[in-house]
Amino acid sequence: MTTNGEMRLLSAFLNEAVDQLDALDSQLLAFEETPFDAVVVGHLQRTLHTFKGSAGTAGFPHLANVSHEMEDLVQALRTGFVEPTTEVFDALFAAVDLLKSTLESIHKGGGDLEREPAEALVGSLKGLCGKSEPTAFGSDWPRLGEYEQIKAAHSTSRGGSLFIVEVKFKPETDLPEEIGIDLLRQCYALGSVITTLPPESQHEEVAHKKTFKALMGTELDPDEITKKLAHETIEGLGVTAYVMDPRPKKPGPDSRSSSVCTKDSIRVDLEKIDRMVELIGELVIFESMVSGLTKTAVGSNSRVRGYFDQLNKITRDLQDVGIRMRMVPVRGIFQRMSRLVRDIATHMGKRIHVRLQGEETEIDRSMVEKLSEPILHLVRNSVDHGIEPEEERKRKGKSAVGTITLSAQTQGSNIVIGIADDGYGIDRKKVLHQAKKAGFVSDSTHLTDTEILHLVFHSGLTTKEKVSELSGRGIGMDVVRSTIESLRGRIILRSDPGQGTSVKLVLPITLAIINGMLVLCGDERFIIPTLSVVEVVRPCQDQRFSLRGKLELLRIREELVPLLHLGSMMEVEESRLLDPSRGIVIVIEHLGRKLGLLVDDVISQQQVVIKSLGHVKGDPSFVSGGAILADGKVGLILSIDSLCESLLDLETQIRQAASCSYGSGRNTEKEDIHGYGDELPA
Amino acid sequence: MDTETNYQPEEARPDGDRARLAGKYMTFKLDSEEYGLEILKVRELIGLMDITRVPRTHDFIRGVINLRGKIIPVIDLRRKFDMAPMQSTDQTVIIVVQYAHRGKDLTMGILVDEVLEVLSIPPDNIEPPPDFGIGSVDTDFILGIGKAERRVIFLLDIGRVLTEDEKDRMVRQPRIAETEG
Repeated sequence: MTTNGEMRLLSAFLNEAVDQLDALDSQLLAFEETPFDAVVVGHLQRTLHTFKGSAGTAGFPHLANVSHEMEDLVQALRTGFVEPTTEVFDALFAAVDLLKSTLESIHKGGGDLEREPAEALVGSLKGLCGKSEPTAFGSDWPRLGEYEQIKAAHSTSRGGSLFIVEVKFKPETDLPEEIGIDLLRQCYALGSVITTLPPESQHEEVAHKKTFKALMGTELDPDEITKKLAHETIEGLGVTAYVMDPRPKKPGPDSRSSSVCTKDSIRVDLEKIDRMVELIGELVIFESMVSGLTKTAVGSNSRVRGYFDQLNKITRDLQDVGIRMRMVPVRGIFQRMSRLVRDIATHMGKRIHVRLQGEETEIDRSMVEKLSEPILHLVRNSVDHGIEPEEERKRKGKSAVGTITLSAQTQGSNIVIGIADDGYGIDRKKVLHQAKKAGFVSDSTHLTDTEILHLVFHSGLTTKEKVSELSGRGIGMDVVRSTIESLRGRIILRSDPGQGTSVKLVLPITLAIINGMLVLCGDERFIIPTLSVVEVVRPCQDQRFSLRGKLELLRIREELVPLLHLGSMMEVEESRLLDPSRGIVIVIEHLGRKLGLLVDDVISQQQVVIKSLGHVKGDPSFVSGGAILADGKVGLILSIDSLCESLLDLETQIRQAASCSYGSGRNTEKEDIHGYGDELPA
Repeated sequence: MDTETNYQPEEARPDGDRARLAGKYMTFKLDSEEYGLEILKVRELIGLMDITRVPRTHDFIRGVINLRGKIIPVIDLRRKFDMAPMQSTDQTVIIVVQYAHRGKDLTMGILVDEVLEVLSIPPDNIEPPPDFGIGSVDTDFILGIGKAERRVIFLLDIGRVLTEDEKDRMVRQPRIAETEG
């Protein structure tokens, strides 16, 4: 039985270990890409070392042993003693996976790694350590880590110079094992030894390999060194000056490298933060209500108004702080994807490089979890269907290594996450063919290119002939779509045949607040999420066309956009509605489809706190949630996806009829309401 | 008072225990009828405020209101009981009730004509709900009939005023042959 103290130690270990292992994955990936970057390897070694210590203290010796072996292997890689082959890295990654799964089972109440698998893993790692024949013998040696750099700088600052001493022994001689130690001793006598090849811990290798290198700092000149080290067994002895890379001595804590976060931080229960954010939300609501009321009552008393303005500013700042507390960088998801791509691509014989941009961009914590599925699916699609095999790419004149770019950037109050590849692109013919085969689309329907593209979001649609283990069941894209919708986001899909595909997920930064356009229908107000608004138009009569007196269309430049009377859809009393010919049209976009909503007036643009309506919603709903408006009343937030879906059949009819019915172009009278939406990503 | 009695209720409700039903009730009026709600389920009373209509919901759902930052539905009880609708007056009150539904707490407002008083009803003054015979009005939502002086008060089981389905979804059945604009 564990005591309270032990429990705390255990949970502290588990908490930290999770972060460490996550960091390990990304550090290993970075190390694989640049095995010669001292900063990168430094982070990796530090993490392994820390993990080893924590595991040992927490009472998991097998975990500690495995990480110790990993440390040794990494060191051997770093010093050039072991060549960085895929096999070696596969083994390291497999070790990380084993550590992770052991951690998970400990979390569920299990114990340390079993002795047998632990010893087996240790054995194989050790084997890799000693196995390779580094004929180049670390061609990029010396690679100086922090410590070595300091040592080197130290010796030069005392007036010495840096030299590389290279010793080659006569191949026929039988060298005693201690020759390595002897040489080392001699070198130490001449100055300070910064690093050697083979490393000190493997000095026996000098006798076997019959070669030795050392980077030294000494006040002696090359001739003196040569004289001192001469010996009959030596065939060749070279002393060359060494110039150190002008590198900053210490990589600062804010260096741009993937690593465990080095900022000062504390762990706080998520519940406490959520509660605080909730209270702040209510504070904001009441502050604006009080402020609104008081301002009218107080009239021109500037002092009071001044105080309220201050109060307002402080409240909004507080709200901002609260929201940001719950935000985490997308780095976590992105790096998981890098690892995933590496694993799958090698499996499939494709070479893919994952490029990350903007991984420090932050997003609300609750959204991060929900986003991993869709992003995962989209990345898998790119690997599976998107990037071509190496041979094919070469034939097409593309680079042998395909690229998948994961990007994240803030745009106003939204975050745009992009998943792009430079592969095949989406084959429109195939998609259309499958859609027709599956019955979503009839033969006579004419679809625009964008619409064909967006067909991929239908469940049950797949253009892959074989269902692979990873994808092709046709369920994934539908899940992507519904997840993004549930997060009140939007998907923008673009694809160039032969060049690649890009998917952009536009999401609100936080689920608690939405940027909304407040519109008026009769005497009722509704909120349209600005994220979905494309433009606002005040149309003239000659832009409007009706079909059989029932369905209405709006012509905007060269497009025909279906029109919905929001008032009638929301069953607002007819008598209260404005004459339809005088309304304003808000054009929204959803999955490549546009729709115009006719309203009486646009009141304002504001940020509103989203509140759940609970079970109260109509059927069909068209309402996705509620919000508390500035005057304290409840406003209904429209559900863009359900509004657009209600148009599905209607549109087909419209399109067929419209292709032969509308006349020549006339001018639009457009009223752009300033600042209504953020710039759309290109 | 002597609570021991030989009176046997003609039809025992499975959970209709007179002693258990005794207690304090918040009484209110709908037209000329009087009703009572278990005081423990009543959270507060608020004067009539602007109610935001939610389209395509049941007729008896007037809409939603903002209760200190939380959005709750408001039920028009007259409508629910199929009474003639009436204009709101300054007596109209929203009684905010809270009860458990499927393990969660459900808060909602009930629109009533006039709130009367909190009444303490002893067990003797409680009768089982009337049985109007098979095929007539379902009186499941009536806990019992309370008597006070000469008044008759229908004691409501607020948890049953809405059917399970209505509570779950608060929706009305979609009307057939409805066309969109």
